[in-house]
Amino acid sequence: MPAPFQIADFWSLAPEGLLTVWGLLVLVLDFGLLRRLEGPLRRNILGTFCLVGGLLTIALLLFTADFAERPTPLDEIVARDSITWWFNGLTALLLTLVVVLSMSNPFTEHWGEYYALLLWAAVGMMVLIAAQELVLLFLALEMMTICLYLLTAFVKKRRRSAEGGLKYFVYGSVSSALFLFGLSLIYGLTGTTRIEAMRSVLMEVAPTSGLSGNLAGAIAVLLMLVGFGFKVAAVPFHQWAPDAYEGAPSPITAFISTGSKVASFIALLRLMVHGLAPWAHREGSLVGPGWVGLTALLAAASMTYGNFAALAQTNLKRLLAYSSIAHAGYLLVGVLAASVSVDQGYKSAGAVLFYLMIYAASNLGAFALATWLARDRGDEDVEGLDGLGYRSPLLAVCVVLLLLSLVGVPPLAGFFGKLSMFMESLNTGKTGRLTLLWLVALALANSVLSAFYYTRILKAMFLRPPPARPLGPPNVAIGLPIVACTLVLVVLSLRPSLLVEPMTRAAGPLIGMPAAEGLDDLETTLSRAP
Amino acid sequence: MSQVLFLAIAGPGLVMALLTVLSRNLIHAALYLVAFFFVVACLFVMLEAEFLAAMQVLVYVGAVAILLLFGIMLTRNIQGDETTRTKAIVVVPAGAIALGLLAVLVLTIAREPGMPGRAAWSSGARRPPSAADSPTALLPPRAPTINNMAKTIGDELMGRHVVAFELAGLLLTVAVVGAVAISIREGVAPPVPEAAVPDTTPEEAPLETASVPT
Repeated sequence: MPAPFQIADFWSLAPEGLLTVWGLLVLVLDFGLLRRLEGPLRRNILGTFCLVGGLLTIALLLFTADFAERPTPLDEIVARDSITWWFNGLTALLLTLVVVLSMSNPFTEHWGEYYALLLWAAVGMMVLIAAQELVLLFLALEMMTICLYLLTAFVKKRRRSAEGGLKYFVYGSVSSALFLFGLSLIYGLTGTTRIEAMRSVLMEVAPTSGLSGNLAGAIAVLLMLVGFGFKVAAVPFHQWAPDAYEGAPSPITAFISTGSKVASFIALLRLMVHGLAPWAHREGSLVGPGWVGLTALLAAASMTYGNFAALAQTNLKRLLAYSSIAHAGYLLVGVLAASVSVDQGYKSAGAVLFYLMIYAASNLGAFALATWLARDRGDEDVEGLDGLGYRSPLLAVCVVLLLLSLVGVPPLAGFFGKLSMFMESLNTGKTGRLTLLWLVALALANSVLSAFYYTRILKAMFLRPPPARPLGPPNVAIGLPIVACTLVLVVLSLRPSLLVEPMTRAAGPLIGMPAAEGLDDLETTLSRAP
Repeated sequence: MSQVLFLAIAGPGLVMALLTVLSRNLIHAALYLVAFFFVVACLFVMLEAEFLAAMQVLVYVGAVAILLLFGIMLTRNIQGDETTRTKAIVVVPAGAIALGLLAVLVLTIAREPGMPGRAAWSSGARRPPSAADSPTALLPPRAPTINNMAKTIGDELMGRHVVAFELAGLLLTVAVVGAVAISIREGVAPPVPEAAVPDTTPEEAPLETASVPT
């Protein structure tokens, strides 16, 4: 058998390769040259080194932005499309900000291992984003989550860290096992592990009947939804999230709630919306046999439960954990809208991709605030934020913008994200219109509900006197991520089409349909509003 | 004939798996697990994958088992104590759910399903054909594969699955690095002042066992 790949084919994996090698270099540096240095100095040197790695990765991505080259056999296994490019870029950016954020707080002594695992978690996310084949997809998923389990339990001084890590690990490994079982059933049914081939086999056999009369397929889909539901923290597979978020060091929490969720959603889009599209629903009805009906239930439960549970939280990280469960619910609405319609689906998928970007930016900034609390107070109670608006007005205003964007208040990017996602859900055509209408109505009601608990943070910052033990002045490691995320948000609020358009274009091939020429941008979407 | 053989192999395998989960003594559980690995090797032989069977015995029955036993011996609590015992109120619903899942799986697979309009998957000795498998990913024909399995597996690992193979290597590195970082005791690795601080975390709140939104 001749070697199927040329060395040059692996160029598309260059960012992942760079980060892998960088992780090894960090370890060598830590155990060799820096061993005798004091903790904070060692942390800063290693952090800067990782920062350089992250920036180099972004530079490499800009350098490899050309997808128009000849197709290679590797493309069937590792995608080289524009989704991969954009979201690898997002992962690298998130990684860079998390690395910066980690330099704020001395929560561990093992900085070499910490940064190496962080870089390798990013490698897992990038491969997961690009994976076109089930074996690779599963390994990438494990790579990502195993790094995150370990990082969650990294703070030896806090028992909650170990507790969170253990819960994350136990839930995670069970759901991975179920997910793998589902994948093996899919392989048995379709005879292939490649997502593209899977799609064409299913298209050939059962293009319109959904999952009716196909019990094995239904079980496979169910098991896979368990796996994805865990990774994106959708109700009822969310129990790990608040504890793991609370226990993990704050920069890691930021990475779990943004990077890992984003990568899992891309994998979900590729595998379910693209690969298993023929199993989505029976033609003409949305609630019948098919995975779309189940996803609708997950979405509704996640939105409602997440928001109601968040109302009662006093710990900022737990509050954000429940709010990110709710956001997973909103995103699932977009995902199922994408799979309902054939000719409009790519717009919904594009809206989901856009929302993922906005969500990642807002949430990372919010967790930077939690890092600040953890640094100066040791806990993450919302009370600790009292009076922050007068002590550091600039960062407080940035946080206001981030939180309002998470709520979805009009002039901000989060509003455009939600608007385009829900609008496209309603525009998908006749099939399942009523179900989608209900879901969108529920999502809107939930957005209003979410304003209550986000406002509590704002109220603490601006309307209360500073507590006895107020937050100290921020350092660069905390200020930079908050300001950077806010800048991204502000730019996207002013010109949403900067990102909406490329996202919609990128989503075309995902839905199995080339994006049409002359895409509607957001302005046309707005003018179509009923 | 092959069905009888399969039952003769799979039956003990099932028993071993159950004993692994149910035995209170961790050493016993590990030994049952090793026995189960051996049964898996037998199943590989039944599938005409002798090379994989040999690997299974060498790697799992040999190396992994020893690693597992060392791991257990180096940790303190071998015998299950009060904390590892579970109450009936937990066991009964969990058992019901597990048995329900088993029933669904058995019913599904016993009905020999396949894709609608295709032969059942259990009746075909080969992988179901897939028109969409592209020429670059052509499967090697059956007979040479069996006769020359090591080569085929090597080709596959270094061919189609090379990225996954490398990623698995990185995953093992992650596991080693992470395990060391997690298990090393804080404050011992770097030079410490004389009266080294032991684990001083008594003042922390008791751990929750379930996450209740409060």
